[in-house]
Amino acid sequence: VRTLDWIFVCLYFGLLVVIGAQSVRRVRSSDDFAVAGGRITWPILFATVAASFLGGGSAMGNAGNVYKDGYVFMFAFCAFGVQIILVGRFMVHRLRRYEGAHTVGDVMEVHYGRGARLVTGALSLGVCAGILGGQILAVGTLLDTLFGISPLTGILIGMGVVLLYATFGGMWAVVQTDVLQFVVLGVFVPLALLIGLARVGGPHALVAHLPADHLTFLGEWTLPAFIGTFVTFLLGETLTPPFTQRAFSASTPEVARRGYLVSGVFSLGFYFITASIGLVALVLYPGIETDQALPTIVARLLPVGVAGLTVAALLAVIQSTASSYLNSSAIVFVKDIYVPFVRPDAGDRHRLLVQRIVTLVVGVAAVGFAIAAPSIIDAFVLAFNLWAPTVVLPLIAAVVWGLRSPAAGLASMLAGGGMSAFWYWGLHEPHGVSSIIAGVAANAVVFAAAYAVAPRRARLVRPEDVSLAMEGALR
Amino acid sequence: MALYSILLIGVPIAVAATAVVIGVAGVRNYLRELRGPQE
Repeated sequence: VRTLDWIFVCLYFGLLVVIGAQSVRRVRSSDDFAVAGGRITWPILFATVAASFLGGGSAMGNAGNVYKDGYVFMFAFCAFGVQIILVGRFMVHRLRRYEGAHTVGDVMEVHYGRGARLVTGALSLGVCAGILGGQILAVGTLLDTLFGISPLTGILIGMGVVLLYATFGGMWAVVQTDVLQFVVLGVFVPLALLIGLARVGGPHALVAHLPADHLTFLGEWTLPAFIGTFVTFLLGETLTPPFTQRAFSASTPEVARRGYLVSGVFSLGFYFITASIGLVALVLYPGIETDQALPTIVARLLPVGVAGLTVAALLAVIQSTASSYLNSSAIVFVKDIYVPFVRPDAGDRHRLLVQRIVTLVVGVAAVGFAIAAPSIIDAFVLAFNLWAPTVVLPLIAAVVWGLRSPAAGLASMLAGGGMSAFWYWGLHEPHGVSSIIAGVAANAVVFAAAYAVAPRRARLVRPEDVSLAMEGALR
Repeated sequence: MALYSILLIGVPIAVAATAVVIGVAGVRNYLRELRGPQE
């Protein structure tokens, strides 16, 4: 990487700092910090949703796995985009009924009681910490590979700026920087594919040099393995805290719906691009480590200047996801744990202060763990696997059908989490069935059974009653 | 093969064009926010 590349990367960092600094004065309340005042328009929502869920896995992870297995991995990975489309079509406009809500816990309490809010809050924190930690490690690896600087320095450089704007600017800063990061990743990652394709000799030459199974739908995978992976990806990240928060940030239900649908479709195109970069890397650089496929294209193939901008794009992919999960961890802590269970009388200024302190503490702790004890990050990544088996189905039942039953909610969350943990640690995921699928099955069965035997009184929250129920649930 | 060729070249161009359009909308939104609070 040469001087001009460094200049472009520094320019990108400079823009992040400027946008972050400008956003600070926009944050006057905990509402501004959590949902940007609820005033986001659809193109901005589209950009922030897309930038948040297109993380290191969508870029380096997808390219590397397609390098190894072919397009079959991309087809499975598309489950993430399909999930966003389904959530956009069936759920986000309904989430907007929960006026004043910021977190998944806010919704869960209305339908399943305070216990469910506490469990959801704890799980939300685990998910945020896991994904944040994973992105921090990815920043270190990326800067180490491309610039040859130590992972420690890379993490401090890459995450320092994120910590700064997320702590002081909250959701306002995260959304505005997401837009910049969306543009950078949306322009320069595709450009890397076009340059790589030209170097290979065009589409025909690419196909001629690839193993045939890399281009078929299933490759060397079996159909059950494909379905298992697809379902795991489909459910794994559904309505995790940053995405629920973004639904609450939209100015209207229609803005939320449109923003989600468009970003879901956009993600499918992005997955195709990073997957195809993986195949270009396989033709040009066979024999490299799979997770180096995309970084190798950037480091060895791209011309001076474009390489720097593409490094900025890859940093944007990671940083936008990290900042979203960092911001969500603070909102979740304050809304689902601190205010309901520790300081119910906390005023707005106090909430805003605690949100900022928690953002800083979680960010510094995550960076510290990533540098000194990556195994702790691994533990949080495992916590991410508990999200779908515990929260997703009760949340869908609540938002789409209005079901209410504290017993069914809590019992199904415990059963799903317990089954998932036992399947993973006790049985070591037999028959190739992931712990997420086993946990979701247990979660669904227990929810249905407990709901069927629950007292018939007040088993539904009708759409027109949501506001009333929210007044009881929200502090 | 023809479809695949179109996708390999067309998808990156479409994605990049979308990003540019959103970038323009983002800059306009950012400048509007800088001018003062939106009611």
